[in-house]
Parts: sequence; C-alpha cells; structure tokens
Amino acid sequence: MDGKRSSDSDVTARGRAWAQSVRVAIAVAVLGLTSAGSVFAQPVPAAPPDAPGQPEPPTVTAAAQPAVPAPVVVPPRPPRVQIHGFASEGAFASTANDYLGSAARGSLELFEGGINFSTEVAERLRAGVQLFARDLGALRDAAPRLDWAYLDYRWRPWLGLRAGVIRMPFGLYNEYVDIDAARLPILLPESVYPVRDRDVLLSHTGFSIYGSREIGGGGELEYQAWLGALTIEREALDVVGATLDSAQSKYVAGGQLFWHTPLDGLRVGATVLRTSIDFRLTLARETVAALIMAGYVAPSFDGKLVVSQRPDTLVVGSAEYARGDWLLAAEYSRWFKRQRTTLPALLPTFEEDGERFYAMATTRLAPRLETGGYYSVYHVDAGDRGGHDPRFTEPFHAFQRDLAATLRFDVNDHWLWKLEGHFMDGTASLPQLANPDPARYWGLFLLRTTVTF
Amino acid sequence: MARPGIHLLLTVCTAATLRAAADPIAATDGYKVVVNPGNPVTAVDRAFLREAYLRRATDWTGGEPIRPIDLATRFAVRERFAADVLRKTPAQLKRYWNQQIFSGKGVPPPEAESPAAAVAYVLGNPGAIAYVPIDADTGRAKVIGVR
Repeated sequence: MDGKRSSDSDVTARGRAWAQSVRVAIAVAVLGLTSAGSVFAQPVPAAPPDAPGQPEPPTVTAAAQPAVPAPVVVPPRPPRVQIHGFASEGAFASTANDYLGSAARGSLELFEGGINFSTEVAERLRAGVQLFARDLGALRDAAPRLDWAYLDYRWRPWLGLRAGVIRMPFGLYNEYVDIDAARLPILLPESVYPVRDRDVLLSHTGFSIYGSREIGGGGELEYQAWLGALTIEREALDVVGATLDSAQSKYVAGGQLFWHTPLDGLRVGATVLRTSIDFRLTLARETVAALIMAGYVAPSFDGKLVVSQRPDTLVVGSAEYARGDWLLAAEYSRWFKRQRTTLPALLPTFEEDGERFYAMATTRLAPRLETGGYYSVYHVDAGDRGGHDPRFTEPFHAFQRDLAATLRFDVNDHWLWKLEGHFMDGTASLPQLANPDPARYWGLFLLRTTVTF
Repeated sequence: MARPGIHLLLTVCTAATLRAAADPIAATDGYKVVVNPGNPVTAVDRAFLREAYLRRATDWTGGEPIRPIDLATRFAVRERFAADVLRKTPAQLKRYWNQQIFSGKGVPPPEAESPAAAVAYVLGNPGAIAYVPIDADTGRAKVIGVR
C-alpha cells in the first residue's frame, strides 16, 4: 500500500495542476473568510469586550435608562450551509534517506488542503462533503478527491447512522489524520499512522453506526461499527515492473470502543479493522519475457497477476490522558497480513505480523506556544524484531525507531506555524525502491504553516 | 449548651447550605443558564449541559431539538463555562471542534456577539439554551438551575 513517484508524468502533472488550483482557491477563500471573521459572526451590536479574568461588563437595560431607546438586539442566525477549510504548506529535508519516494531528500512541497460544506437537512439529519488535495514531495500528487461525503442521522445520543464516504476510525487519530490544526505533530507517529497509507485507510464507502452512553458513575462508552469497502486510488500504490489494472477491496469491517473513564480527560479503547483486497496487475513485457526464459511461467503466460491480501487485520489499543495543558497518549498496534498470488512459484504465500507502537507527550508553554514529542517504533515482523531473517538484507531494515520533537506557535485562532525534528534509527518505513542502500541513522526536519477557517 | 461562637458558625453554615439548595445557580462559576420560557425544564445537570454544548445530546425530554448557543470568545464567562461544564481548556475545546468540523462529525454551536443577543436567540427558539454572565439581564428568558 505504499505510494510512489509515478513514471506517468501526465497524471502527475494533472494532479499537480489540480493541487495548485485548489491551493489558490483555498488561499482566496481563507483570506476572504478570515478577513470577514467567523462564519458564525453576525452583525449584532456587541457589548464591550472584557478581557479574560476581568469581570463581565454590566448589562445596561432599557429600564435603567428610560430616556434612551433600547438597542435593537438581533439574535444570531446560524448559516444554513457551513463552510470550513484548511490549507497547509511547508518544507522538509532529510539528512540521508529519501523519505517520500525517489529524489525526495528535501522538498518545498508539503501541501495539504481541504474545504468542506455541511448543512442540517432536517432535524437530526446532517449532510456534508469535503474535498481534499495534497502535494507531498515526490509522493504522487493526488487530484482533489472526496475525503468524506455522507448523511448523518443522529436519532439519539446512543445511536446514530452514517452512510456514504465515511472517515474510518482507527486508534485515537486516524479520523483526524490530515487535520494539522487539531494536533501538535506535523507527522503523526509513522508506526501507527503511516503517511503513505493515508489514502487507503482514511475512509470507506458504506455505513456506520455510532453512539455514546453514560454508564452510571463509571464514565461513558463511545462506540462505532462500520461495514463497507475501501476506495483505493490506483496511483496510491507502489508498483514497479507492472501496471496496476485495479485494486478492489471486497469489504472492510471494523469496530471501535472507547471508555471515557470517571477520571476527567482519560480515555482508553481499542479498534479492530479487517479488510480484503485484490490487486490485479499486468506485468511489463520484459518482466514476462524474463520469467518465461527462467522457466517460472509457461510460454503462454499473458502477464496477468492477482495479488490478494486476504485478510488484512489491524488492531490497536489506545490510551489518552488530557489534563490542563498536558496531553499524554500511547498506542500499541499489530497489523496481520496474509498475502497470496496467482503465481505462487514466483511469489509464495506469506504472512506478516507487523508491530507498531508509540508514546507521546505534549504541553502548552504559553497560550499560543505548544511543544512535545513522541517515540515511535515499527517492527516489520513482531517475531523478528532484530531483523535476523535473510529477507532483511540489513538488520535495520526490519525496524524503524523515531524520536520526534515539535514546536507549535499559533499566530491567531486561524493561523499556526510548526517546526519538527525526527531522529531515526532504522529504515523499515522507507520506500525501498527509492532507497536501495539506505543509511541506518538519519534525521528528518519539517517546517509547516497552516490556516483554517 | 453550645458556646456562642460555635452556635454562630453552625447558623452561618446552615444558612449557606439552605441558600445553595434553594438557589441552584449559586453553584455556578459566574454564569447562569437560560432557556425559552416555553421550556418546562427547571434545572439541568452539568453532564447534560456538557453533552448539549458538545453537540452529543440531541433532544430535550419532550423531543424538542436542543439548540445551544455560545458567547463570543472575548467574553471571560465563556472560558469559565467551558472549564466548569465542558471540562476543557480553550485549546482543548478548539482541538475538539477542529476534529469534529474536518471529519464531518459536527459543527460548534453558533456564537452570540453579546449576552443580549444570546437571550434574544433563546426567546426566538423553543429548544434553545444559553449561558450568560450572572448579572446579565435575561428579560423574559427562563433562568434554570444547574446541578
């Protein structure tokens, strides 16, 4: 499920042009809306503002000043259609390895943008849609796509139903993985939230039910369950020596349960997700010829190949504690993959048990200044954390340990800057084709600014 | 026979307790909660208020949709209400709404530019609920208790 730099320059150029158009549109929208203020702002005569910590301004009533006409007070009228958006731009540089595909040791392309529209269609029934575009270094640019688009009927607090293209819960943050303003790190821990899997794991097309329920004095349970199919863009996948004809997800099903404990700010939970994907490929002519010459396939072999991941099962346990200016989070995840192909002699069936975990702490140093860091670990095979198996040409290809630190400065409620550094040991998350001889120890530095409205 | 000092202390404590029981808004941190005069509710607990303002509770007991309204961020009472009822700092609340907005799960309550505008909104919407500074004029809106 790795992304890659495409050899198809037309598609890349088209995606880049789309991203550029969306970037301009969002910038214009941001400038327009932030200068106009919040979409909630109404032309209501305002009372004198009071600074935080100061007493409220006394309310002067018409009765107290009978000689002065009472001011006309207009109640707020929420807009029928809510429009919100975000745009992030930045840069990154790696000290040694190509982080996002070939020739990507550094780039000024770290763009993500989205704009959404939502409205209350009827009582308890909401409809919304979000368009998203990105341009991340050499990672293949994605044309603007539907990030989510669904109907949401919340019948009761304990039962709601969504249908459409729906954000997929996984762990604490997968539903919010591209919302830079809603977190401290620029890159969420790569072990549990790999950036190259974003397009595959972010959303599904189908149904979900959700709700929350108080459990007496024992806190609250929050739950979601979903069934649908993944939407896998062809360009989201890393294929070399072949053409990807299609990537079909038979299904994706999952459930998530969080317990908001009686201790304020502490929640713990788990998510299970299971899917099945068939990748249909056509091998390149020279690859087919080489296979025939080597005797791996019959002379009549037409180059068609099906790679099936049946199933992929992802589980994650999560804990988060927010108290005052502090936020502590930790997650432990296992990704079980069983892969087989229609050419077992060439590509035998294999099973993989990836282990992923991290711990993160953030704190606010001042009202607009936040800092923090995390330590994130990815083992390709939980049974071989040291990389002793011969399939790892170097032991450090079997793991990646990432120590990261971030500084965030909020210029105002709609504009922020972030600076981040990563110190890596291992190369398991790197795109292998772009890094034939990677360095074990390397650093990654990122700068990003984001506006939201 | 109790000494006068202790007797006086007991009297003061008892009076304070009775006053708090009779005047539930005395327990709030500088705000009072108002609803439409047609709303039969006389008091709500903080858990309900929290669910309503985080847009997780949908209806009043009678089935009327809950329509909470916030005050603009420049009002200090907003921060006190968020700490006392929502149990969130301003930064936590901002993060929560960013997550809700950009994942499509919901949008925050509308904001009133003044307590008077919040009261006007409550008077114009049967299911509305607002908090205003404790000394604000609430007009015909109904002040309810907070448990």
